[in-house]
Amino acid sequence: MSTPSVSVNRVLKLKSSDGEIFEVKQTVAVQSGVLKQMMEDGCTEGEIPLNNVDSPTLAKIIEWCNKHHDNDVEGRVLSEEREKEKEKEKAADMKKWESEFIDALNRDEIYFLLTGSNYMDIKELLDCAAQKVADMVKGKTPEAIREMFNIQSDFTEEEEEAIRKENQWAFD
Amino acid sequence: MSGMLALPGNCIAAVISFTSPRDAFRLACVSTTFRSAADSNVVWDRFLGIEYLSAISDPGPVSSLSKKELYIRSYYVPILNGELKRLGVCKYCDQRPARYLVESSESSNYLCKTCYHRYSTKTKRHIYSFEKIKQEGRRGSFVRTRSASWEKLVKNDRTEKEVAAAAAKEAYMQLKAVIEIKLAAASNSRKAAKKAANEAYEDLNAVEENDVVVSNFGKERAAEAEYPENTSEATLRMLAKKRLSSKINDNVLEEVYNDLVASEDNTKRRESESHSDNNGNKRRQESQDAFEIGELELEGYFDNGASVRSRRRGIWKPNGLRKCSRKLS
Repeated sequence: MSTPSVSVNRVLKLKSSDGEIFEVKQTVAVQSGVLKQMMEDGCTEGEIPLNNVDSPTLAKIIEWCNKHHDNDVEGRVLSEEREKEKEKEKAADMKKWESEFIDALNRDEIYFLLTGSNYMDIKELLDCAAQKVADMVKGKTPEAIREMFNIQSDFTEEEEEAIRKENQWAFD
Repeated sequence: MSGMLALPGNCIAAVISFTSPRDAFRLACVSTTFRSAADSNVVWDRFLGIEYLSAISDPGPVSSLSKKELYIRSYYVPILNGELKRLGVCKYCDQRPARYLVESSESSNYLCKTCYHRYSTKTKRHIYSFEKIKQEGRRGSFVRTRSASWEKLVKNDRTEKEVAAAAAKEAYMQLKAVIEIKLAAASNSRKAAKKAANEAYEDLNAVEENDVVVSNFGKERAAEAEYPENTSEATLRMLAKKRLSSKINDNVLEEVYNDLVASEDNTKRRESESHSDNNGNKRRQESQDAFEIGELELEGYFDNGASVRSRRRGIWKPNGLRKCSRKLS
């Protein structure tokens, strides 16, 4: 937003891994660390391919970014005094919206959102998704987690024994 | 459903950092990807918090350890005879090491520092720091010994105070006695001194009366002593006074004196017989020569510069000799 090359009306074309094209305002796109860097470098002409993000995930990400951007705009329009009053309200609202946003997703969608936000370097979305996954993981034994994520242990028996011993510290 | 495995390592790490340390240990046992993520510093940086700060301030090899190891170390406290005691996890937050014991009538819980402060300000119950517990060993004995030692302390304190008061009183009495004795002695000595002074005064009067007689006699002798008969005698006396006489060859000196006497005779004669014939001139010349020789010889027998010094002080009165000395210098 602060860089002069970013104008309100300019639009970025993002191409998802399955070839769908999304149009995003530059002011919205700056929330992604990767896109911001690209804008600063001036290489945003044409379509920007995002090979690790599929179209449903990218739609979700853009939805998230738009919501947060709207929030920012509102904040700027308001006077300073009112802004302070509204800040808490806004934060609570945002949290509620975030939890609803995340809860609406199934597990796979969350994983994809996690990868997508990580790839596009959107810190807040990454934290939000990670928190969600962490809540799912919390308090479960390694076996349960393997089952839950359908992971096969790639340790040999001796390795597993050693690692168990090493991390036994947490179980007593 | 292999979504989680497809996640890059830093995504898994981000997820794990939102769990608890306990979960992080468990997740490390899931698979190799999980293990590397769960052991990464990103995760443990989050868990360390305040404990991390205290650990990093420790000197030595601590900083070269991974954050996970640092975290584990923050759970160990050295107790007596160099052993390490494993601390439990805080009952309230389930995240930080429990360093403090909180006791109530129903239960006793180990809490971490943060929760302990929160709890203690809320309830104001008796809370014993773990630091104290570890010194005593078991908790029960700690409580008992604490009360026992407290009573002992009070008792000791009281007895100590009493003893100190008694000692102070005794010391005061002793000091008082000593002062009284000293005062008595002082008054006695004052009387004695006064008496002695009176006696001395009387003696002094008697002495003064005697003195008048003595001084009259002394003056006569002093007058005799003050005025030497002639210059040679004065010189001798002067030298004796300066303790130089021992260094002077007596024989030579006698010769010099003889010459001196002769020269004095000459000068006197010259003054009285002012018409001065040839014979007189000649004799004067001779006497002057004699002075020169005498002076030279005399100088030889004095220590370095002694004669010069005595000359400067005006011992040598005769005119002839003065000229002579000027020539020498």
